[in-house]
Amino acid sequence: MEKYLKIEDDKEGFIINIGPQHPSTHGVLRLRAQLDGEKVVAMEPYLGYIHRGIEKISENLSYKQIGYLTSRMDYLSAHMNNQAVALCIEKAIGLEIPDRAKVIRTIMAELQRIASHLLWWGSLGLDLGAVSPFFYAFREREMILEIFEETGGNRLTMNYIIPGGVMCDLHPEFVPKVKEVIRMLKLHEHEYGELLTGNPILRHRLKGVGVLSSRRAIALGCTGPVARASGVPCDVRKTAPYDAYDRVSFEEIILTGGDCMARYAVRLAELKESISIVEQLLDMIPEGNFRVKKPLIKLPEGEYYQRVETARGELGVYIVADGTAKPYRVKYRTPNFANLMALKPLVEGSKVGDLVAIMSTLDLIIPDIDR
Amino acid sequence: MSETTSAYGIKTWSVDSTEWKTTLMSRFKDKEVRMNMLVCLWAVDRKEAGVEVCAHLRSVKTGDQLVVKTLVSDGVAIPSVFDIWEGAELYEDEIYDLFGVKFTGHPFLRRIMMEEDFSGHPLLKSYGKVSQD
Repeated sequence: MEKYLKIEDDKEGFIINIGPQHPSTHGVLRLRAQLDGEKVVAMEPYLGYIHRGIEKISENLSYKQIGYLTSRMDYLSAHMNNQAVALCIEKAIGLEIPDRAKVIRTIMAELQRIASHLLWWGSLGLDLGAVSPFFYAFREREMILEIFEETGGNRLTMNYIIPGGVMCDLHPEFVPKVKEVIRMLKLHEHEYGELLTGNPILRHRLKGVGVLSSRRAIALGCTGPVARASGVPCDVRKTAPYDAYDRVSFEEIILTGGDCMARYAVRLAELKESISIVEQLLDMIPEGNFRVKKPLIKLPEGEYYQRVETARGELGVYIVADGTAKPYRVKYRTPNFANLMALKPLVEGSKVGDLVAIMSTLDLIIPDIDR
Repeated sequence: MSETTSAYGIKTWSVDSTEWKTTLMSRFKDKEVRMNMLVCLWAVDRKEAGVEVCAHLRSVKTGDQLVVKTLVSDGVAIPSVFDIWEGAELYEDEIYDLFGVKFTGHPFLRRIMMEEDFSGHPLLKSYGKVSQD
């Protein structure tokens, strides 16, 4: 067990406060760091600035309503969050959804993953001082958001995947438009390499910085690209396939570097895998109903659990039902909450300048931590 | 000692709060099961019976999962599992903050969601309901 380093206020040295409004924290996270020269000796995260009590509010909502709040947790994985709640409720009442809904859900989730990784890629450049990648990333991200808007009506808080299927059928222009996005993504792929991946300044800032060993990643409970970059296989889409993931073939990207560069490479490789999943599914969207209408009022008494893979890792939904129309307790095991715990050991002992690079490659979404 | 049921669709053990840490430690150290990942640690308010603290464990190698539950009565502190899994730190902070369960041996137990001078523990059923208006 590693020693827990606390900030000592009376010790000589410098204590700096980063956030909660610092642009590189991508939200309202506050870090206190004790410095020795340029080196971070100890660091403590302070959270709760955007705590909305989603779990408490859910106890006073009906089962149909709780899914809508999850869009506000990890807003860049809104489809996957909705999917997790929908799957959990379907499992509880034993509802089998139509094939068409399964495929649509999977396509939407993968498009969302592409959009999320694109935003991360752009903001990584922004954090490290490169402004232009942001505009390149938003070019394709904007196209994906337009597709979401056309079909579901929303760009950020999707609320499109609901228990029983999806909210509405696909827009007639959906398939050609997604094909166009994929064509553009493939056409512009080389630009990502030219702008950041091959950039010597970026490689200097990421290579060998913030190394997370696989043992530590497991002990901290990290999931998603953060853990996979440390060589931990943890893709829920592979270990416990849901919806249409058992019908497509894709690679689980696992690298063993564990440093910022490995986390960068995992996400870029995942982007390509997601494109391939969408391509495979686009040609096999079955005809039929997009949702099954069944009145959803009560869940049988019991405890239910479902996990999905969001863009940042494993999201677990735990529902305790007492047989009434409202859940007794809802718990979200959010990926960012666990990944945040990796920040402390990674930052301690490294330079202040590397803190931004480490935070950026952990890809933390603060509303998902605070809930 | 412990009974096996199946809550959350996963094998579940219920243990006495005095056996909380020894049970989890044995699951971590056992060479065959080797539950090396703490997926989640959360609590459920069971009103008069106390607060139910649950740990969701997983073996990364085999994918086996286990939920260990314990009922903690009012005012009783349970040992922290931070020295087994580092990742327990913020989960225990969260349970302390929202349910008022204290963990002994935790390196830095504090409120993380509510402000430091907040009184009460919001996720307890006795805390009061959120207004519908």
